[in-house]
Amino acid sequence: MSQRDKTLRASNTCRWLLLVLWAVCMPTWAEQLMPAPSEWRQAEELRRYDYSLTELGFPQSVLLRGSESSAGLSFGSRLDELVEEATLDLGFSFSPSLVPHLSHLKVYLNGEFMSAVAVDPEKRLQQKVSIPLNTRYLADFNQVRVQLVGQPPEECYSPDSPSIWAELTGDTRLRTVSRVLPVANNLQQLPAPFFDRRDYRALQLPVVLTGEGSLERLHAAGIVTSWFGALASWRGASFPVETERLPKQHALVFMTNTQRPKALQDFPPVSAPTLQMISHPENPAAKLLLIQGRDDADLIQAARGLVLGSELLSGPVAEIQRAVQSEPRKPYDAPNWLPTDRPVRFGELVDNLNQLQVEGRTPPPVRVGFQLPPDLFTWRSRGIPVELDYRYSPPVEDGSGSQMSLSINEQFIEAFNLTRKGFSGEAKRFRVPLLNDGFLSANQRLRIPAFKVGSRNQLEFKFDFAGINSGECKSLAPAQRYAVVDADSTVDFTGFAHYIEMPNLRAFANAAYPFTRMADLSETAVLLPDSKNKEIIQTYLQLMGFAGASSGYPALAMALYDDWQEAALKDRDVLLIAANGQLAQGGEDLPLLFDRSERMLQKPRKNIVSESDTWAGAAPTLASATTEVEVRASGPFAALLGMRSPYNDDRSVVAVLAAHPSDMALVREALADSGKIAEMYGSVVVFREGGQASFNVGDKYYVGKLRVWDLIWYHFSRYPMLLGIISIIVVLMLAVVLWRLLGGVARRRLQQGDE
Amino acid sequence: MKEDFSSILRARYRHYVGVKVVSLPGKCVLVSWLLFSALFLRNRIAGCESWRLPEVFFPHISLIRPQLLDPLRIVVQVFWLFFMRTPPQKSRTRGFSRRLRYAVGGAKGRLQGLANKAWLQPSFWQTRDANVARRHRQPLTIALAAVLAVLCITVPLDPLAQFVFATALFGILLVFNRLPGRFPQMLMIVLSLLISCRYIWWRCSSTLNFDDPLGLALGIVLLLAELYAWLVLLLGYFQNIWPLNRPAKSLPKDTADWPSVDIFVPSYNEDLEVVRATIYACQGLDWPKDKLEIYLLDDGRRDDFRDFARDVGVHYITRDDNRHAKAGNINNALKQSRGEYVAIFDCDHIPTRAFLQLSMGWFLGDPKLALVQTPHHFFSPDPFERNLSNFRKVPNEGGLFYGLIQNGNDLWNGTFFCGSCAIIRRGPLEEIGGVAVETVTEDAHTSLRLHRLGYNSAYIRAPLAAGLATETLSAHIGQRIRWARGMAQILRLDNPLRGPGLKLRQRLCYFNAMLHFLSGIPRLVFLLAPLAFLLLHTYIIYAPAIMIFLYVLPHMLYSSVVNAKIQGRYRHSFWGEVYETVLSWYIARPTTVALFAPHKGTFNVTAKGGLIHEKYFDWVMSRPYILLVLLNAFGFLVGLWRLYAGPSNEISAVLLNLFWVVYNLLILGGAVAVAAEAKQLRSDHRVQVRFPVALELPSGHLLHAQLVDFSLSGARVELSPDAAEQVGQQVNVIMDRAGREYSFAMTTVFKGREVVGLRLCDQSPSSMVNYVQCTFARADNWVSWKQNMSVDKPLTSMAAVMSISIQGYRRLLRAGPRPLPQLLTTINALVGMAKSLRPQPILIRVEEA
Repeated sequence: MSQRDKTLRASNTCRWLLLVLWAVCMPTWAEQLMPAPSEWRQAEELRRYDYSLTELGFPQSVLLRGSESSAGLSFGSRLDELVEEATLDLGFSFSPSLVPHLSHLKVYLNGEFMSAVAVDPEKRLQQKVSIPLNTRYLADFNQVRVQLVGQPPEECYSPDSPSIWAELTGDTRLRTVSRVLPVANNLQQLPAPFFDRRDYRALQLPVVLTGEGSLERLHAAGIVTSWFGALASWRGASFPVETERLPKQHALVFMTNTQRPKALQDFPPVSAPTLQMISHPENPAAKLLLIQGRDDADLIQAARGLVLGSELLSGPVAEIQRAVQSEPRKPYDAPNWLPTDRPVRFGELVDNLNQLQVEGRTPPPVRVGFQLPPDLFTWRSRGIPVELDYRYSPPVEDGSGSQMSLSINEQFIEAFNLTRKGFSGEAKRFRVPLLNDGFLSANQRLRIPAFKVGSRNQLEFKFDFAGINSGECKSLAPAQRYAVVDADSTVDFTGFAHYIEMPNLRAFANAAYPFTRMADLSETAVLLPDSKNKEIIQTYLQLMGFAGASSGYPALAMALYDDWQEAALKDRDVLLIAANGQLAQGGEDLPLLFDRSERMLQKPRKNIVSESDTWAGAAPTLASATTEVEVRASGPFAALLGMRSPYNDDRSVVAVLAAHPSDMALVREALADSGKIAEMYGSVVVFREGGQASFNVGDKYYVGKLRVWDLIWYHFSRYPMLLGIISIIVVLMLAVVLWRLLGGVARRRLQQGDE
Repeated sequence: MKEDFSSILRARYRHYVGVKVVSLPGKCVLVSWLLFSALFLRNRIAGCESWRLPEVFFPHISLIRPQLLDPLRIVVQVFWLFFMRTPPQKSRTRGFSRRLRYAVGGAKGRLQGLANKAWLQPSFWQTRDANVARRHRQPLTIALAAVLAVLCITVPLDPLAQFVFATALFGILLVFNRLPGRFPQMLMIVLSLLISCRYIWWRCSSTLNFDDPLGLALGIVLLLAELYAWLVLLLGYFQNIWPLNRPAKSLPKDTADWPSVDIFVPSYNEDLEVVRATIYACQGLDWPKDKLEIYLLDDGRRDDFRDFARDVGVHYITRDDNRHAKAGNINNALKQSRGEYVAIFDCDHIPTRAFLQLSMGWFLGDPKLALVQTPHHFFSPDPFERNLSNFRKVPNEGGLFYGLIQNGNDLWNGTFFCGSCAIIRRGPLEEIGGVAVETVTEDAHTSLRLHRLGYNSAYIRAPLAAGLATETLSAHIGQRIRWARGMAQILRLDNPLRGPGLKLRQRLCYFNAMLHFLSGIPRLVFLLAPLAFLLLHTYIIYAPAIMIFLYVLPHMLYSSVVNAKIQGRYRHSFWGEVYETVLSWYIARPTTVALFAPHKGTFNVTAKGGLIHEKYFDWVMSRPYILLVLLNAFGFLVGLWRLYAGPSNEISAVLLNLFWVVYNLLILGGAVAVAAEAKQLRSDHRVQVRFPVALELPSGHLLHAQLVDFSLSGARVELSPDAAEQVGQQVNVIMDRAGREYSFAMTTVFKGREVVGLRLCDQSPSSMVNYVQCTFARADNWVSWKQNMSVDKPLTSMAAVMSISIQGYRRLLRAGPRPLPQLLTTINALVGMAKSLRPQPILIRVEEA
């Protein structure tokens, strides 16, 4: 539950960010793309949405504290829909100490006043009211702001008095009715309408692949889905595969001159890699993106053209002449990953500098998010240096209790007093502790899992301005308070080596590591079975989207195979997708072996859960197998299995295995569920219907590079007794040498007199 | 019956009261107890008569003088008896402890058996020395060991692993510690080195906080001080790893082959009395008279010295100026004498008669040998010993240097000349232009020059001469300041690490000697370091307290165990800390000045033979220590406050620093104790001895007696009371020396029950020579002293230093301004009271019924 909440909160943050972005540069192109009136009538379909408070950005009920405090509920409206009705069902509770007629809630939509709700003295603790929202004021990104104006009965009161509060309860909902709008066939809108960033729900984009999927065709599809995965980012993406039938919604269609779905059989052939957007033959509101070519090889070029050149496209059809990567990418340069070769300014980490500024008496926290490579080796690190500079409306007096609290992933780290200076002075340099921080780890209570590997991290700067409590009855009209974290503040992850203990399915589940080490998957080989049925392809496409979401970059350079070729697989990490548990290669000593009916699992003496959110390199968790169990069963069963590549000691294999092809759905569902992802670790994750289990078992190996002495220190530091024995050997050796040398010297000294 | 009863009561009453006067409450209590016990108690309880129960079970409570806290004492004692009472029979615990001791003894025996194994004997390895393979194998072994050692030193460990590592090795260290012999000692040294290097590596690599400029600056200062201490430890191990223990070497049978020796006794301002004994002793040296010339070198141009020299028949040399002080004095005499060898004695160092015979032998074997040094031994307590009243119980400050360091230096051919009690070959001495005059420590500098020319040196660790220690603390410190300044000067002017002629090992020996005197500033840094956290709240060691604890503690523990093993007989644990602390403040400035401006500073003569008439507290001398005490005490209080009011995650750091401060206060207390000068009344020092003499009465009767002490003017003997009765005014004391008997006429000046004080009548030169020979210059005199000293037990030493420290604070308070002495009285009273509450052990003898 909580994991889900966190994700939701993160996604809500993103919505908020997007809204702000929109507010700054109000796009006008939406109007231009309005379809002609003739098409208007054709689309009569209505869609109803019902957003819960959680979906609007608040996993728990929303507290409004102090008079004039407000909360914003945000939602988007898709390009291809027109909201015709919107209603806010507000459930709320009022503080019993507020005077009914003077206290009320004000509701705004996108800054426009909508309604005011007075306190009902009868049921002030469980009030419900339905407020229609004027759809004229709706835009792409919308915010409903609820403001509390509260007055307690006392004549003299502070607007910050703790008795002034209202709470938006969990039954608050926003309901909309949208009419589906036809969209013009224009590539200029890409990725819309296939992916609409105004839509905060997970992306579900059908892919039409006709014929038996050749590797090249699948390659092209993988490139495109990884791009959509990168675009969908935190929303998640899945790509249902259709072979013949055209789905009734927006879809991607891969077709060559020879192989194409029946419905498009008459479509004119192309003479070059071509992108084209057409309306669905049966449903004009649905759009199809045709990725076409003369043959399968052309498809790859078309796909590349799509993901690299979407900014150049306009009109309904485009031919791709050339789409190549002129320079190979470097490891760890994924756009979504924080650069670790230089200090990073906060300004780079936010979409808009306004996100670093907050206002209000109890302003929301400033949030700065970023994602880290999963294999950062932070052993014996002193913490992450942060140079922090911030400004704020100065409090009336020093020591008023106004504070700026810093937390990371909702773990409190440190608080700074706000003074009358109004700024932090010289940039304040401090270190954000790491889990394995030597300085703090001695004290158990200070073990802060501060940063999460692979998944999104968030620095939160919460400014708390102390209320003014004059004690006298005079009109204190404190100005609106502002706080801003300077965009030139930096966080510095330089100097960390990349080194990680493998197999590590936590890193895979969180960041598609080790494949995303190269953002374009140029060191990845995807190994598919000979029989590529729908389930397999669907899983493959989702994994590509998954990798794209982690790196933020399309998988332009991966390679696809359907047999074990040593020469080809030698220098690549292998992502294996296989039904029927076929591994074909990989040895006998794997902790998990299974086929359709028989399953064997080795289990460790103690299943060491690598502490959630730890630095991967930090906690060595060797666990050898001590028990083995074999069963015969026939229910759905799938697994993720991490192991060392049979061809190269520095390379890994991650296998997605299922007893039956249809069991692949278990894996896909799990990888789309952030709650389940958080529970994956170790070398084996097994999935059954309704449950999964992770095991940390089998042989470990390390990938990455460390300086030689770090390598030696790191590995020896785990065996103090061995060091002790070596010490004794050293002592014996040196003492014997000394004994001989000194004995000789002493003899010579005493013989000097006898010569 | 009734009469019986009252008589019994009376007897019992008398048993308790005796002849004492008893107060009324006392009478009441006693009488009621006696009545109670007689009427209600059984005759015997727990094996003793019931009316004596209080006496037996509450020995610290007097029934006839009841006190206010007695009920509390009774309660405590009852509790103690109830839980701790030991039955009169042989207890199980004793049986257990005996078994344990037996087991340990067995292990010890086995360990000793192991030590006798062939491969632990030097000869086993040395015979294999000849092996040709050795030449190739040894460098290989060293390289491999070095690589492994670097591994063991640098691998970082988390707290638990470090704990396991350090503890496991400590166990092994303790096993080595039990093994006798040199090889285990060497193992211990290497082990301790490993741990200390590990500590220093850790300190350098992961305890500096580059984010906090103040903490970084102070941290680097502390680190430098620690590096200094580590270097000194390292060099100390190097020096002491194999004390050579050079035996005396016999001379040729034919005395005609013995070389000629000039004896120089330089003097500047000392009393003639002091010099007389030395000259007499020199005259009594066992050496052919024609090959022995004695020179009294008087820089004070005093007539009485000249007259004395003429009277006793030694050469007298003086000069017009005092240029270059003692060095110039000796150089002046060098030109006017011709002996092949020069023996130098400070005018208060009295050589035993065997001095030359025992020390000259090595010269004849080794033509390159230029210097033979013997230890300086003092028959009077130095200010430390006197003020801490540990004379002859704890090795003194010089004990380590002469007992071990010089002995270790000898292995490396790096024995220093120490200005006195040494013999130098004239040729080399003239070759280097006589005694060095550029620095104020002319002695060490002279030997440095001899070594530079490739000459050898030797050290014989036998106390062959004895002298007077410095008198007052200020004089003692003045002397150390001179040495420190001189060493710093040499370091600048004639740096042993550079320059021609020396071997690396000699360079290291000299460098360590010089480094030793630079200890002032590091020591002060250690004394102030915990305040950085407690007062300034900056982490100068940027690491969790537990890690500091886990790294520092092994470093200290290992080195102190090893040092206790190798230095145990010459310096006791913690005493060195006290000595160095006292000196630190005073040598800090002169050494620093001398390092930067080596030509500044003058020679100050060490005053000896003075008197201290009054007990006093040397406020001037102890001022810096009182300041340090106050600072540390303040830090302690602030630390307590932090403990109470500070954040909870700092508690361990605060505790660590409090511990450090308490340790500092302990050592500083010792330093303060030194500053309280004890009385010293006698003008000539009585030397405590114990050897048999005979007293010849005028009647011709001989009485057996023990000589208990002597001085140049008289002696004290101990004899049976009957014999003491018979001693009259005049008596002849007959002493034995090398088979010959000498008789000295003495008068009785004091007569006790068993002790008689005597004064020497005939003080003519010839008689005095004999007297000195029979007393001060007996060859066996000083040897026995060292044997009385206990071997170091670190915990015992710690307790001793602790009690000294407490004494120091008491003295400080007593001598302090007005409210402090009263405060002390109150504290004493409170402590006394608290002590009186403590339960007392009881002794039950089961009497036969």
